[in-house]
Amino acid sequence: MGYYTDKLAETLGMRRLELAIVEDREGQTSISAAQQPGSWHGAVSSHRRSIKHVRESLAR
Amino acid sequence: MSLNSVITAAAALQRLEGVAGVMLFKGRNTIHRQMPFSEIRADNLREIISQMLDGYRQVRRSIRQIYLEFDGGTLLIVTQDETVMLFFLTSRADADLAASAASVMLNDHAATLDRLSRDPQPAAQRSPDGIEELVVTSPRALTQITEKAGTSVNQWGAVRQCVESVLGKVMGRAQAANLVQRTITEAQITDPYRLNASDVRKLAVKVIEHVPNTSKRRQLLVELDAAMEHLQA
Repeated sequence: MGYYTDKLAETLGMRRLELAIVEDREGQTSISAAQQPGSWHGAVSSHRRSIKHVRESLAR
Repeated sequence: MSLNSVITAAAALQRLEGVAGVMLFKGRNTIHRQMPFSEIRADNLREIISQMLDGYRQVRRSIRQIYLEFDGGTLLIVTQDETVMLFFLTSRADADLAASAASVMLNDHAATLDRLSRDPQPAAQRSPDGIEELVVTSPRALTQITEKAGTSVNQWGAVRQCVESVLGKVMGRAQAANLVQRTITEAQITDPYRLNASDVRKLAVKVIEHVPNTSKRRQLLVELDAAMEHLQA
């Protein structure tokens, strides 16, 4: 996914991805950029949560 | 087949708070596009998202929604079968509301969208009775986005494809993509789409010049010239 998000960032004239939530039939996978460059933290959930809820939980 | 009702419904989603742009497409068939930047940039965006979703389909992962928050804006991708509703959101947007509205819209028009081709359609066939939708968005939101994305763009997306295709002969796809990214960073270029034609070419050559083997490098530069020939307008 990093390959495509790098390309998307470049196309939009932006520098980096900060948060991603991918949702399919099985649930949600979310990742968020940590303070250290290149580090990520995230979660996998079998429930469908709102984007707002996921953002808040990753910010904690 | 008239797509007016689908286009009107897609355009209406742009009026939601904080939505800077929308695009509805199926494969290479752009049904509706209202983005705050050039057609080339929007087409590149559609192409990358299509490739990403095709990758998920190949591994039989049925994606419903992808939310990508970048440092300067957010992309929200809502899918139904092969149809994609793409939002370009500012920080003021309610992404859940946009996602929910897009799902409803895609469901309401599922039968029409299902019959559509994935191939690009001539504009005349898309709107046979000539209805055009006037979309008014907040001038402030548009200013914020155009400052980031720029209104005049070059053919960097197509040039990058040429470079990656040529590099693909000596290295893997991810390695080629990393090399392009590294060259852009080293050259301290913030947005390659804003370079002039000559600088785009220099950037492409600079990427190839990273190939250490002299004879391979020479061969790749010749191939790059040939690949880029059709881009010169």
